[in-house]
Amino acid sequence: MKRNVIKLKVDNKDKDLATYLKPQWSWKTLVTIAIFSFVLVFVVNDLEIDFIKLVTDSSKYFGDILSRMLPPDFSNLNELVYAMFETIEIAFLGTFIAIVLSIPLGLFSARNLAPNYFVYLICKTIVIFFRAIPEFIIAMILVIAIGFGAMPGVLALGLHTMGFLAKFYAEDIEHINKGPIDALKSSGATKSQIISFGVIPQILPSFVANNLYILDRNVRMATMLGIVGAGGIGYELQSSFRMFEYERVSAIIILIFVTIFIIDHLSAFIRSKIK
Amino acid sequence: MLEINDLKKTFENGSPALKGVNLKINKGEFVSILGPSGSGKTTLLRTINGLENSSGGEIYLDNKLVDNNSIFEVQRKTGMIFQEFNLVNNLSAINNVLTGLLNSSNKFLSLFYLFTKDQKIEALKSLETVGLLEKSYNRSDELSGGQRQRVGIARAIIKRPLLLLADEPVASLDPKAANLILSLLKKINKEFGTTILCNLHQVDLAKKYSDRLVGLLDGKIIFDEKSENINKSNLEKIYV
Repeated sequence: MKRNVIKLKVDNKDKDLATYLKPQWSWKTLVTIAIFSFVLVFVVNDLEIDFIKLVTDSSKYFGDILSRMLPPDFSNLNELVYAMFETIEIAFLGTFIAIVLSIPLGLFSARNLAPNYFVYLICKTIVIFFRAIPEFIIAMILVIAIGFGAMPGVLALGLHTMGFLAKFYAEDIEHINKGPIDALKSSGATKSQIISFGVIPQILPSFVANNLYILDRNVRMATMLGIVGAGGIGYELQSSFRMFEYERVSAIIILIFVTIFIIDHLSAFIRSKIK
Repeated sequence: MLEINDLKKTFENGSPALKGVNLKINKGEFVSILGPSGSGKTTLLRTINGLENSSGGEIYLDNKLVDNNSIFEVQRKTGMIFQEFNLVNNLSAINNVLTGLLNSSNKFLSLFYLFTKDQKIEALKSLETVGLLEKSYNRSDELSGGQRQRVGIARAIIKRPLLLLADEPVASLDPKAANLILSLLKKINKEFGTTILCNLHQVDLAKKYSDRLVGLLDGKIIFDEKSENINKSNLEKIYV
């Protein structure tokens, strides 16, 4: 302490204290904001995005397409509901495959659980590889390799979201509370006993939450996979677009919305029950 | 200064925490509440400054009834310090202390951490009072437990409260830091005339620093004595 108690009594104390003040926003923060603003302006210019034109010109065309989409045409509702059901099945199976494959990958791509650096690196590489390739591309390749239908969709979702889930699990494992692990070690538990008693109970709630999130995401993605011929409602969407049947397009969009709405509430309900 | 009449609190799950507490505290007193865990000490403090709603009874602070209409004013007149310090860890010490003034700050500018120079000088004065002027711009999570609680005290006293509520302020600290924190509270009590109501577990510390000891057991007051008059049989009632 440079200042002492006696100095406290001095009259010009406030003036003296003011020398301790620093700006509420440090120069580092201000420079960061400045750089970000510059990048933002540069990107908008470089992409030639004209917000004024978007509002004035495009709103005309937007109104036009919107009017052609109304009213929604539910005349082939049975077919659509069946295709939607197929989409949900594809997502369900894809998510299941992703969970099964990602458990070992997740365990071994966590730095603190991998048996050695080599295994860690291999698992991590697989995880990043499948996360890097969008399911669309995986599905396109699989459609060429094994033909149209649900199978390429299921595999594409399974492989891509395997990468996601393994990353989530690994991060959860890396951030677990180490206290209980020390206690288990001190009682002479083996590595697999530590996983079963110390790691799994700690990550179980987020394990469930992540899986439900991926299921939700996969249903949304599966609605699109039909566009590349991998089954489900995406195929109906694609053909309606091609035939300029915009009333059918809006019906499909409404159906997708209702499905996602139900799934969202269902998974929120399940998550609230699991602690 | 503070008058509590027949205060009752029952939690939503039906368990009663306070079963009719009567307590009168004079201006400038340092009163400690002793009692085992679950006796209702924390609930009592939290009901005074509106962190909990009471289920019955009245509280008067500075001759004014504490209710939904006056709670804003009550919170301006009271400061609180917590067992786990409750600092925002990734803010600097001075910004944590300035949160004690949010009640009377510009409601818009304060969203961007902007305060007047007078307010910032006040924050530095508070930090100086607790001996942490040099740490003003350190992040709170860089400080030790005792230092964090001192920042907590600076945050509570920056608005010059009439009443300081301390909820087990030393339960998470080592004995040396605990003594330092309590002597700091005593100093604030003597020099600023701040009335202090403090929950404590440690009988020896309570006797050493406070003027009066109140024993709380199972939501009821079972003794209320001057520190020098406290005897073994009083203490046995709570801890045996």
